[in-house]
Amino acid sequence: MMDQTVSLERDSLILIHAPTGRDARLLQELFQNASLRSHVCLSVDDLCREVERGVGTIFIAEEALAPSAIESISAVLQKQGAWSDLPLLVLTVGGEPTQAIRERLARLEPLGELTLLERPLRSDTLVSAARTAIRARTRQYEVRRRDAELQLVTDNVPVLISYIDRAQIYRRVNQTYSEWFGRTTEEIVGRTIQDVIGEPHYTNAQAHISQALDGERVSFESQLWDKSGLLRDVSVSYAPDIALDGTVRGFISLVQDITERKRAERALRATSDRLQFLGELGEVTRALTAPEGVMTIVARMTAEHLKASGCFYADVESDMDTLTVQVNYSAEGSGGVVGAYRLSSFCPGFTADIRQGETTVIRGAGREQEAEEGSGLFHALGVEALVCCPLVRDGKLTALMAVTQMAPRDWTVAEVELFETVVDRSWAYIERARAQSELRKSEQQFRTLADTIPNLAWMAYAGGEIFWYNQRWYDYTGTTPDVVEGWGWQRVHHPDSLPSVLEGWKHSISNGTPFEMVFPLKGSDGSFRLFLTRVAPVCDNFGTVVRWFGTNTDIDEQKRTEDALRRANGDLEEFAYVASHDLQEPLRMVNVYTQLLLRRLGSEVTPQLSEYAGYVSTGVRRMESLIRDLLTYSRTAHDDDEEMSGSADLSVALRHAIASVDARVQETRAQITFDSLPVVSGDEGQMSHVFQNLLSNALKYCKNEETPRIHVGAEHSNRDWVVSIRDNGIGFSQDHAERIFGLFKRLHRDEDYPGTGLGLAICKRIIERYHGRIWAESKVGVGSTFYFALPDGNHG
Amino acid sequence: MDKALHILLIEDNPGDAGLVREALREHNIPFEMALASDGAEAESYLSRMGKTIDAPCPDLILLDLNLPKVGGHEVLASFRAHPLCTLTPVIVLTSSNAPRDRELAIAMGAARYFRKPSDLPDFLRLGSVIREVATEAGIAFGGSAFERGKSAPAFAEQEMARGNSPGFRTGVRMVGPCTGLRTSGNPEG
Repeated sequence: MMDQTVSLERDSLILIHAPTGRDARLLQELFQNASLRSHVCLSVDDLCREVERGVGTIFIAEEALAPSAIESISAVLQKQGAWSDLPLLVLTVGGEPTQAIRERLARLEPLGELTLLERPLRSDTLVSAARTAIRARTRQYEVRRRDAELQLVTDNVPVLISYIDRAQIYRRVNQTYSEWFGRTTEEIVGRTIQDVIGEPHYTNAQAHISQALDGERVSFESQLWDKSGLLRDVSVSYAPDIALDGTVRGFISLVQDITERKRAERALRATSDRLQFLGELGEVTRALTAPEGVMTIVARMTAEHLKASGCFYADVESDMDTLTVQVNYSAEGSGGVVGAYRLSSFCPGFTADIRQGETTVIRGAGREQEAEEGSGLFHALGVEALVCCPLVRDGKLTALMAVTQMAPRDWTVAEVELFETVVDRSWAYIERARAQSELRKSEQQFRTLADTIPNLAWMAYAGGEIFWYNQRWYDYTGTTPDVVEGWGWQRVHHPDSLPSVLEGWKHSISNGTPFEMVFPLKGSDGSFRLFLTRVAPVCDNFGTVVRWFGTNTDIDEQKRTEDALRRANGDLEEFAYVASHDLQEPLRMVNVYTQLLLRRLGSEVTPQLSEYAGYVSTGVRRMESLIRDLLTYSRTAHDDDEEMSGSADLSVALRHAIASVDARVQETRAQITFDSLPVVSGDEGQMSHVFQNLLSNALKYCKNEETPRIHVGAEHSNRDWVVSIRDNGIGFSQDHAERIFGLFKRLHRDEDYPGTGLGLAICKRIIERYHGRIWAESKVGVGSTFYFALPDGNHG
Repeated sequence: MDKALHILLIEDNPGDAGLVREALREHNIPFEMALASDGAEAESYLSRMGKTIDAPCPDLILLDLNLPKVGGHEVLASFRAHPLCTLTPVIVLTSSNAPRDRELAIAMGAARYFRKPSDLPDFLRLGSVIREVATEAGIAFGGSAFERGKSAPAFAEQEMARGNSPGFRTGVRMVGPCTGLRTSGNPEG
């Protein structure tokens, strides 16, 4: 359609055709002098060729306008577009043109702008005429260029652009337009809308076209067949072309393909519908605690959302065959399928898939399962199409859920996926509901129990708001539920302890850790009592805290008793210490002055007097050791943190003990052997004391006729170190094995085996102080083994 | 006649007072003894000391720590505060073996810590301890190496005149257990 590009030089080129005389040469000279470019055409054919290549104006001699020449020129001018109005300057002979010439010129008139120049010609007239003509022509070319540019632009816009006139005939279309319909521009321009877009679309657009022709801008969305017969979404705008006088000459139609956008919009809407649906489903089922309730809601909402005829939920028994339809929603309200079925009665293909946990889609039971046995059952149930999702847990089919249609239905992938999601979530909802119902049940049991216990008890939500207190709480505090529920309990706390209680409690809430603290709570009489509070988190199967159970145990009395006991113990020990001390003083006097008396008497001392003095000093010694042991015994009761936290190397303690009984070892020629001993927590000095006592006993209660053999061993047994001291002494009856650890308990007369009866009591007291045990095994005449067990210190 | 050692015994138990005398006699130490039988009497003695004839300034003090009315430590502090007694050697007599009592006595400048034994020979060794302490302090008494007729305070004055400050001597005595502060008495301790 577009002419070849015309160079700017040709815009201003003057073509001269004056075949006879000197006119052509004179003109050329004249134009050259005026800096105008010109070309002399020797023939009409030459002229026509040059015109087609581009021309500013034509100077043509009247005498050259033969009828055949007119014919050729007309033809070439007609090929120029509507933009063209080529200036034609005809050099006449002078005087009035002849009739023949007039008629010929009349033929050229509509094709160009004809000017007659009468000879003889003045040179300045010619130049001026040429310039005027070239200027006009340059403007025409400019218009043409702009038009071409516009066409280029519009052709490349992905919008269907057309200009339609009042008569609804296409005047102009862009390339996009013609390509849409698979036609050429020429095939469209000049034809009516109706013709081009087809009757149905025209009917849709007719009202809008009328509006546009009434001078209104119109925009609407519609659909349009494209060249391949696809119906596509389009947005259409009509902009009226209004003349200065207000008449509407036609309108510009802009049509845009919005099929992709529409599709994206539809996909987005589908997604958001889906999300909204799933969100609502979750929201609605959250409050429900009965699994049946959950499934009823899920079935109804799912069927409605998918516009299905029904939706059911069935439990599968442990035989993996019997299924009981628990819930069935039917759009028609028939609800026919509730009841028990056997999975094996359905088509084998269907049941196999279900048992393997695969989602099964049936689009038309009649069509697909016709050949299969059991398809009749679907018909009997009035189910023609369905999507069925099984729940397989631990390899066992436990439940299934299906959405059904009474007519064949071509389930889309999106629908099947949505249903799978719904089913997945439903299992979770059921789990949640079951867990909540279990929780409620156990809570009820707990409340019943909690009202019978003597402690104050309460329950709080995961966030710490207390929603229940037992009756004891209300009895003690004298409060009412409305003031203490949530965080109102703070009113019965002491202002001094409340901040640390809040801090600890909030810490537990945010970490899900148990809480334990002792603090006072105000009773209904306004006085505070001390309570031990323990709070434990209750978690669901996923480890999330769902509740807190708390108890407040009144330890006021206990605390008071403990304090009193501690004071009493302290007093007693202080008393024992001082008493033992003061008891030793008079004894010292007795002893020293007895000796002094004997000394003074000198030679007057009789053997009998010596014997009596011996009794005095033996009595004094015995009393002294008793007092010393009592002192030791009372001292071991003191809780000295430094001693308690230390560690004792039993090997070292034993070595010290052996050294301290060395004299007796020498005397009895005893043999003492020992294993390597562990390090335990305790005080080395006190452990040494234990060894010393036990070794002394072994050396004391030895047989006269036999060398005393003592072995100290150690064994690790179940978190304890068990140390044994075995001898081959006289032994004792196992009946006395416990009694010997009592205060002042002795099995022998002092004359035979001197002792205070405190040694083993002291040992027991020391060992028990370090959370150990002490015991003895013995057999008369064979020997004794004393054991003590102490924690190995590796378990806190 | 030998110069007697002036001893102030602060002791509530007459039995122990008797034993102290026995110990002195056993070791042939000539002595004159004033007895304060409780803390209050000791304080009263201190107030009269050097002013009345019955309260001479002692050469040596034997102090029982467990005293009625005013405790032994307090009494010791009072004597130490008296200008005439800042240097007087003190032997602490006690039946207590509590480390606390021992440390306190040493800190307050006791020359010896003598735990009362329950055996006569052991108790009589107190005499030799007294002799030792008196000799260390340069107190002249019968049978000692020092010139007769010179009292301990007089000796101290002479020492000071020679330029030896009494603080120096106190320092020697008070440095600690390794420079002569030993505990005498029952070795079983």
